[in-house]
Amino acid sequence: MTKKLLSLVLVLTVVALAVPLYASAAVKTVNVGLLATISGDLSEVGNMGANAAKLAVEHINAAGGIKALGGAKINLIIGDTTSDYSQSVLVAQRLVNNNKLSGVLGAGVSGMALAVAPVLERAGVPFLTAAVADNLTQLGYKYMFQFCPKGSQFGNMQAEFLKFLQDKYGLPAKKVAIVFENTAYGQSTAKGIRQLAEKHGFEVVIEESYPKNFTDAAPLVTKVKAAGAQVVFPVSYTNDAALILGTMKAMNYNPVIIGGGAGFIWPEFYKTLGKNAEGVFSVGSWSWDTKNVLGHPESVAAVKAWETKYKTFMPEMAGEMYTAMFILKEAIEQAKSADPKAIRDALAKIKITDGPGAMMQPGVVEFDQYGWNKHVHPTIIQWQNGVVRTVYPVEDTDNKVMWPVK
Amino acid sequence: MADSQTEARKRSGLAVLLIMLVSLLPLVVQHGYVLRILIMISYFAVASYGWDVIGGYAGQLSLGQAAFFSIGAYAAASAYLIWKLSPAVGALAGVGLAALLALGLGSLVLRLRGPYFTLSTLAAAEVVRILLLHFKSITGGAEGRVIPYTGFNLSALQFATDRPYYYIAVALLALAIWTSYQVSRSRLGFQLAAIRNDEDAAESVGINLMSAKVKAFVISACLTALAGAFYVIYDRYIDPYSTCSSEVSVKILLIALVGGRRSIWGPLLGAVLLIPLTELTNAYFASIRAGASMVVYSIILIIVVLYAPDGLIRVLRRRPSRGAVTLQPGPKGRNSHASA
Amino acid sequence: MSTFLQAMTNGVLIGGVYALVAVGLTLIFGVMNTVNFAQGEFLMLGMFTTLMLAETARVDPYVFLVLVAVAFFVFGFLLEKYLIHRTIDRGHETQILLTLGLSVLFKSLALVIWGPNFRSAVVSYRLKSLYVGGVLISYPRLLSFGVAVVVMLALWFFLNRTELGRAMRASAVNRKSAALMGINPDLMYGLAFGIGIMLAAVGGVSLVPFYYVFPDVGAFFGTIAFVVVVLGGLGDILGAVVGALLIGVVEALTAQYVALDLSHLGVFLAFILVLLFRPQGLIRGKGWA
Repeated sequence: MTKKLLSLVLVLTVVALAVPLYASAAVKTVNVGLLATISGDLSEVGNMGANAAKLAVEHINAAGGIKALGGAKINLIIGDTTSDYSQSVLVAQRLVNNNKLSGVLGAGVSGMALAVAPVLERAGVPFLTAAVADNLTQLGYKYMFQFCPKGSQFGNMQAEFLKFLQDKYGLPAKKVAIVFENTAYGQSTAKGIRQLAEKHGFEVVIEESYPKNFTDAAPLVTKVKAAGAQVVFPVSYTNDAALILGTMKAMNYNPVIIGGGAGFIWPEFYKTLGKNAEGVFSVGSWSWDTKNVLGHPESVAAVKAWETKYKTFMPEMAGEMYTAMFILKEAIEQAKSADPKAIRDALAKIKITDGPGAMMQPGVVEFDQYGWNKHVHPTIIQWQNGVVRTVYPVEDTDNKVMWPVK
Repeated sequence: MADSQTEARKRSGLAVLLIMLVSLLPLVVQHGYVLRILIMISYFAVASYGWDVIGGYAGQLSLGQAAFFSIGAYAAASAYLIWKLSPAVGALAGVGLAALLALGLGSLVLRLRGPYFTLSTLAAAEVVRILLLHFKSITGGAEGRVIPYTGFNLSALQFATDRPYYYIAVALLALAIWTSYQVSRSRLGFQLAAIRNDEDAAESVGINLMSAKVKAFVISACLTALAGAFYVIYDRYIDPYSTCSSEVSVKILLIALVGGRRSIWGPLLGAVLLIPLTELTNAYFASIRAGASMVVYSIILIIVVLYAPDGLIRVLRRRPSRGAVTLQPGPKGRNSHASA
Repeated sequence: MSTFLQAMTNGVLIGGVYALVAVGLTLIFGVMNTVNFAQGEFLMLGMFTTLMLAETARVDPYVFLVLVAVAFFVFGFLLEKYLIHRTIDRGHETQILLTLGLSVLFKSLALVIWGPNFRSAVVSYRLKSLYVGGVLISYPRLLSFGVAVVVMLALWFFLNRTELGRAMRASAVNRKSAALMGINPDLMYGLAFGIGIMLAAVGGVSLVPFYYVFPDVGAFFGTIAFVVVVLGGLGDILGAVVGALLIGVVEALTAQYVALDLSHLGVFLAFILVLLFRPQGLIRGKGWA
């Protein structure tokens, strides 16, 4: 019995060693992975990102693929992380084990980026993430590149914008309220706002978290109204934002709203809120009508292609994933190789100033020693006639703030 | 008696063989993903062996194992991240904490019978999750906790490949199987069997109901917490929604139930069947829609409950469980709470 | 003061839905001695059915109230006859596991069919409300409370003033003597389960105009229903109604005065305490009166 078993083990070992796991392929295609929340309650953001990545691949391949590799085409492999963080680790693992990847994009949700990063680090695959968490690049990962603004910059930009409204439009506000969903994204964004609001001389009269997808905002709005806040910084996804804003209107309470990105800048926001969305401000990682996008014909073409295909303006997460694909493409060109290690090294010293790879403000992509795109800053948008328009910082746009907010 | 002894000897021989086979596996399995699934099988089985002590041997249906799983996980993570201790130390602390909670909660709610106990474990897990969400400074709130990968470090239990994790997981699995074996043949095991059959009768022959049940609950909590601690050490990420949800509790229960309760190999069989099944269904259907794996899970659960309440291991062996209780109305008829 | 009144109003209004789900649960337990772990999922299915109908026909969700109620009654009756009935004499554990399996099955089927997203019905009065004396009374919540009141009264009438209802009460009190009086227990089980999940589905319909519809929505209402039912005493209908309003208010007050994200902590702690010290229920309603 023992002998039989042992010999079985031996045979199995030999077979396993004899089967080559990765067939070596000629570089006809370059595999790029995308980790996106296609399903689950974060599916809205995941699908926007995935559609944009597909669009970018279409454009790159149609324009002759990767020239340094003899016109190799990009093959996009999408992994649905679902909206469950622990599941995302597994999906990432599957993605890197089953495919020979040159790079991975995505995981725009901070908690998820934190969860999958160790997998990609150990596999040695460069990872371009659109997540905003501050601590991402402080963890010492060599393969992670964060090309978008950080959460704390959001808060900074919001406070700065409030100051701008005071100086230029005579907004009398002193008392501000922060309301945020009790999640990773809500907590880290709220932290940034609080620190900077206080630094800029505003009084944070109330700071209140609420459970995601709650259905009764009356207790929350009652508290905020009673505290006398003139400006409210809500950090919410679409559903909660609609509920909070709707309840405010019902209670005849009309403070200036400066949203914390995400739900506040996606097309779904206007569909849900309708007229109540008009005039609402929000911070964002990227916007389709900054000077920096409109200045590049290729970027304008991308934005137009999105509009034609999806009948909305190109939203933040879509713009980011489109950009990410082009940053990676540029790195592959410069590495002249599909080898992930070589691409990582190319990313570490890359400087992109032209084309869709440079769509992030201010139009330069260059990573610091920690893998963060050191020039990037967020934008402030305002909903005007059903569309998100960039209104701040002034050097990024010629659009005017709609004031007073109706 | 002699028969059961030779059988026991045969079994331990088989176990030794199995151990050899298991320890050679990673040399054969070169595919990282398969190794990962083997690791998952191991730690979910450990959690399930834990559930089996209270839910199987003691016959008290706990739906709150996620609470113990989370306590183990959070203790290991916090020890490392906040107090700079080895997560192994944290794991032990977590096991201790889980034991304390089981002792406290158990001595209160194990007095309750039938559905009341089940409901209170459900509520206890909800309370633990709400607390984990609320005390952000320790737990990180909804943001959860991440253990960054800093390269090979033995005391931090960080390894570059999955193989060392595999061996740790298998060692924990062996511990869990050993525990289950010990419980099944100990005095406690017989007391629990009596309680399971008829609490009132067990009490009348002098068994201290509370003491036996609480002991079982504590052992159960320890094993489940250990699995939770390993989970965070391996996966490096936890948050209250994914580690302290009723889905985790149901999964842990289901593995033991499908494999076979009150059995040395039942929970392992359950994990070997269900974990790859989740992976397969997720891999093939997740691109269409999430949830497919849970559809399969629940159908299996319903079929097992109706047609194989003793688990698949007994279907395979074609014989009833040791001390299996036939599911019949108790002496006081349908309205008695003391049911199987 | 207005803050306090606001919290009370919110609590009482949502209490109506809690009462519908919980009374269904307690009715099933009273007659069948079965704990239905899938109660919340029937509410969820009721919500999705209503939402789909309303979206297809582009009319108000309430149009389908009666249709959904009848459909779920039939669904419940058949489910009892062909599935639950197999476990009726096999003890609580088997019943819990079976209904738990059903709960996971319904939840994951909903996930496969409708996806995980949070959906909401398009109703013109979703965000409409009366603003009276500093208290915001949400119009759709008021409507759902009204529905709960009407349904409760109808149930009371059925149980007390009809032959069938009285038979059901009799078999809940004592199955054997009811059978001796010529009452068919199997019919009673089917009826009780049908009515029980019909109540949950009706609760679901009335939630659609102001709540989100998503596969996990039942988990929350199901858990609350357990708390309410234990508070009121398992099998006690009046106790469940009072318990539901009480839980609604406790939840709203915690949300207003402690913290929004702790609103359920008080509820669950109260639950465990009640289980420990008064497992027969905190409120002694008159049972079936």
